[in-house]
Amino acid sequence: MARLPSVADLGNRPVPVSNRQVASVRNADAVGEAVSQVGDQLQTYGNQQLEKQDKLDYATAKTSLLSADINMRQQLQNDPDYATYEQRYNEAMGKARQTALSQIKNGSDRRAFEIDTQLDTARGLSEVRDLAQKKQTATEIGNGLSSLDELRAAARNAPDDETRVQSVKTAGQIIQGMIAKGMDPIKAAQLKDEWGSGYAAGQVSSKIDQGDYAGARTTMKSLQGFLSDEAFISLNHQLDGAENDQKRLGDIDAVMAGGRSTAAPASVPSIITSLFPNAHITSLQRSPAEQAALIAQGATKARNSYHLTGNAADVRPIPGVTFQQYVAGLKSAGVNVVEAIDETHQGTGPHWHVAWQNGRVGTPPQNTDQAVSMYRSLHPDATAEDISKARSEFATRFEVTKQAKDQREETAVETAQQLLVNNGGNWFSLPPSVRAMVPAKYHDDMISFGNSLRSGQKPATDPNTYVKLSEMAATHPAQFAALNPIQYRNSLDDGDWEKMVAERNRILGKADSQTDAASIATVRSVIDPLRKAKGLTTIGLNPNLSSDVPKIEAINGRVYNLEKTLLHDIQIWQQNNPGKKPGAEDIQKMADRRMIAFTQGDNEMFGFEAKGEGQVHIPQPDFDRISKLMAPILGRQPSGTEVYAAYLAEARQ
Amino acid sequence: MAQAAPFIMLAGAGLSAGGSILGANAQAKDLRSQADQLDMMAGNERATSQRQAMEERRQAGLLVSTGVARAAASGAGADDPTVVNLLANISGEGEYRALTALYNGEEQARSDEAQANARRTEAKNVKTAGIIKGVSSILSTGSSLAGRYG
Repeated sequence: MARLPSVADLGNRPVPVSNRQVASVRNADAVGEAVSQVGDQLQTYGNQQLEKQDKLDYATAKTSLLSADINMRQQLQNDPDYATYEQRYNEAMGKARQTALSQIKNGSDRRAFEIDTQLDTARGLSEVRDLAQKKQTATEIGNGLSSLDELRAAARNAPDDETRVQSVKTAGQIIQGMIAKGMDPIKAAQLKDEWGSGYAAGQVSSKIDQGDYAGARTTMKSLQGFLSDEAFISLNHQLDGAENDQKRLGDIDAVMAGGRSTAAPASVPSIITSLFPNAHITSLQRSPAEQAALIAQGATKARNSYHLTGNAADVRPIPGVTFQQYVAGLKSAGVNVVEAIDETHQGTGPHWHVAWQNGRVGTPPQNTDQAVSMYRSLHPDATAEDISKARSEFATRFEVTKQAKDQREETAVETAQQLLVNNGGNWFSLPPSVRAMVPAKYHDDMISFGNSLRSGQKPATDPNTYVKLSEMAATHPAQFAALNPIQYRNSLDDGDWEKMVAERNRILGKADSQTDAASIATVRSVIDPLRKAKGLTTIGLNPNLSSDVPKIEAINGRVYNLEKTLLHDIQIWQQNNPGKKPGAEDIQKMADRRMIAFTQGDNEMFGFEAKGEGQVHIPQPDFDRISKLMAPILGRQPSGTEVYAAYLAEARQ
Repeated sequence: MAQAAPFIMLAGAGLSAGGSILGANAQAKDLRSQADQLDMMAGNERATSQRQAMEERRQAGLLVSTGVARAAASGAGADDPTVVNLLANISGEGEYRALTALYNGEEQARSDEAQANARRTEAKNVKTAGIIKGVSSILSTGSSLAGRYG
């Protein structure tokens, strides 16, 4: 039988096998990790914030402490109570530290802050101590300076040199004390110099300024030890100069007054005893009764004795001194001895009688040279420089005197002139005081002026006088100004006289030259070269020769006319140009046109002399130009005279 | 330039956060793809085990038929108890083998499915972590800025 199949024919029996693997989520922690990262970041952020807050707290605390430190030190800067600086600083900083500590929450930071600020506080305290020390020094030096100021105020008015010396010494002691207290030695040295040399020099200078030269010398001697060499030399020089000046001025005063003044009667007895200590004065002033009694006794015969006025002194003969020496000594001391008698026979016993007068030795000088000569005699040892200075001073004084005198005279003449106009020209009916004030040299002129007023005839200009005056004004203005206008009042008409007075005022600086017309000097400076070029001059003519006089008068007349014509042109120019003053060029233009040749009949003359029709010889281009302009207006060709008139007018525009 | 620094930092933080989220999304997508593949593998495993079970049953049936035929040819009847027992064992063995195949396939499929679920969970985790990391990046920048300007 065939084999039956069995289970074994199905092969190896399969076994149920579980291949299931563990299914795990590999990134189960991914979310947690991410969340953890966020957490870490938040934690880091929080830590950072805390750290920052701690730092901020620390900084705030430190700032608060430093602010307190600065504030406290600023307060102390201007606080005079330097003795309590340290204590107050400690207290203030202690409080400030507590306040600052309370602002720090982190314990370790608090401890760090305490350590950190201990050093700051110690440093601050050290500086406060320095400040207190400096303040103390400054206060003590300030007290010293105040003392010096007080001393200075007192020393400035010190009554005597001993007080001055003591003041300087005291100042020196104060300064020494200030040095000991810590004052800067350089400043102290300056102060000492200021107080020594400066004060001494100031005191001496003050006396020199007051004119107390003797006092200045004495003070300088007393304070010499405090003066620097430089200051001493300078003051000495200054004092010498001042004394010389004073002496010179004294001598100049004396000379101007007529000489050195003599001693006053009251001072003579003291001069006698000063010069001759052994002199014994037996008689000075006597009453009339005493003099009468002496006459009655036969002791003297003098009824008008100088003793009656106190101007005489009798002395017993002085041992060792001759009578001549005695008299010479008194004279040299300024006693104006008028009587000197060696009386041995009189009843009053042997005595030397000397009488004197008070007053001046000579008469005042009349000019600088005289004054200098008198000065030389008074001051024989004067140096050339001294004489030069004296001469300058004399010249100034004479000038001042002269100016004052001139002014007085001028005022007197003007017053008298006005009074003459008021009273109709009667000089002799003027009050005597008015006439007396007018110097005699003007009397004739005043009378002539009065006569012209009385006659009613106004004075006419004398061309000679006018030309002479205008030439003087142009060439010698000072000399012209020195003339009193009354001197030429009767030789000029009103207009010319006023013109001369205005010119004089201009020279004397009394007129407003800006608005005044052109000066005579300016006009002369333009026309003189022109007229001389045309031969219109008196050069070579002798006014003392009778044959030349008519020629001179004729030329002066023409010059006068020229000047007047030109002044008239200038007047028109000024009317055409209000407020302006013609310059030299304008005047030159006008003068040129006046000086052109002008033929009238058979005579050729200058333009300014032409009258009526004539033939002018102006430059041809100008003639043609003016003719061309005038012809259409006139309707004909203008005449030569018409063209000339236009030519002149052109210059006056 | 210094004034623009905070804005640059903020822009950087935005980019970083965006990058983190985009990266996580990509990774999650990959994981979900893996899960899908595993699901597909599980299906295949089940199908294969069913085909294997059918084959086991068919082999057992074929062997029983051979046994019947051989029993008949030998003369012994098919209803011979020995034959019957023998054939019954074969049938039983076949069923056993079929069930074993099914079991193994099911086990493999479930394993794959478990893996697929794990990948999906991973994908979710990756996505969530990516968002958190993005937020973290912004937070970091914010704190830095707050520390400097706050």
